[in-house]
Amino acid sequence: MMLLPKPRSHRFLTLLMLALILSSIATPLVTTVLAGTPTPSEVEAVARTLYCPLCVGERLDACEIPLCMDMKKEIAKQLAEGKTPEEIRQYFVAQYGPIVLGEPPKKGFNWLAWIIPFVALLGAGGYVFLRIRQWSRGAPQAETVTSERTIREEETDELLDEYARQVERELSQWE
Amino acid sequence: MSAQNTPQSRTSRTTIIVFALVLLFIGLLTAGLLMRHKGRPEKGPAPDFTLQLFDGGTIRLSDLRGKVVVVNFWASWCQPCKDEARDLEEVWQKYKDRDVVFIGINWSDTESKARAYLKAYGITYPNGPDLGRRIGQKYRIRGVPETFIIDKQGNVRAAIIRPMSADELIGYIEPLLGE
Repeated sequence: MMLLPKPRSHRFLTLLMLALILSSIATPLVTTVLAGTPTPSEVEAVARTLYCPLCVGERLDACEIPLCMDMKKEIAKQLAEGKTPEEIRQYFVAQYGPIVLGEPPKKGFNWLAWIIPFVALLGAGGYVFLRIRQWSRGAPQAETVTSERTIREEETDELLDEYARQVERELSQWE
Repeated sequence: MSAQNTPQSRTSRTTIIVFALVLLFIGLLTAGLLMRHKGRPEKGPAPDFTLQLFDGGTIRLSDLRGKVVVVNFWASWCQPCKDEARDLEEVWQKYKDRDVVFIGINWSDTESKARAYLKAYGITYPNGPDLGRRIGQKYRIRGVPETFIIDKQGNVRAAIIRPMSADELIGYIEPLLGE
């Protein structure tokens, strides 16, 4: 059996295929290396802005349950892929809902949690404002009362004087 | 000065308004708490949902009228879910060619862990993540596993809040197939 030499074009095609396969394997690796492995503090920084979806008000960085540990691994993975903290937060909101942001979702009955503090603040402010205005209006009223009282006292004095004069006149008639 | 504008009448009016506002607030708070503790649906129409499946498709509950549907909420971190996983798959294999559909809803989990779980327990029935936990909210899920049995008319017939054995699950499905 005689072996025929491979044509040059075949060798070129083989090399090209090999290069393509290698590049497809290497690209994700290179991307990961370029993006860098995130440090624990970088993962913590993102975890600090998120909350455990199963616990009540527990921040992700302080949470030790299996789901929280998995979520922290997911943060590390996504940071390594070059995702921004905001993109990671949005990913978790899509997965678990706005509960991971530690705030009530702005819908239905939950709106009250957003509205009531402002309404209470406005109400309290309005009440204080009205009271202050009432007090400040109360001062001139006191003056008026005082002046009314003074007038009445003067009238009484005049009447008393007149009465005293009449008593003196009548007494002088008797003398 | 009329009697309506006396300082005393103004004070009592303010008191009434403040009292009414406090009552309104307490009323709303009570209504909210009652709604929150309304409990999971155990009978009546099953809340409809569309689930994006891990394998790429979607499944809508209301499209499954005429079939008995078993909706199972689970998570990879949940040990009781692992305890019932093989039983669920076993029953699915037994009934998959009849008018029965199993739907697995992965609740509060990470996708990679969920996929690994499905592979580890050889689960083949449709499964998908409860994105944003919207389906869990409709069914008022408080933990996993929770399983809902829905009849051919789309009504919830049972809500099981614990892991189930294959025999127990068959006991729920069989009578509904005959209806």
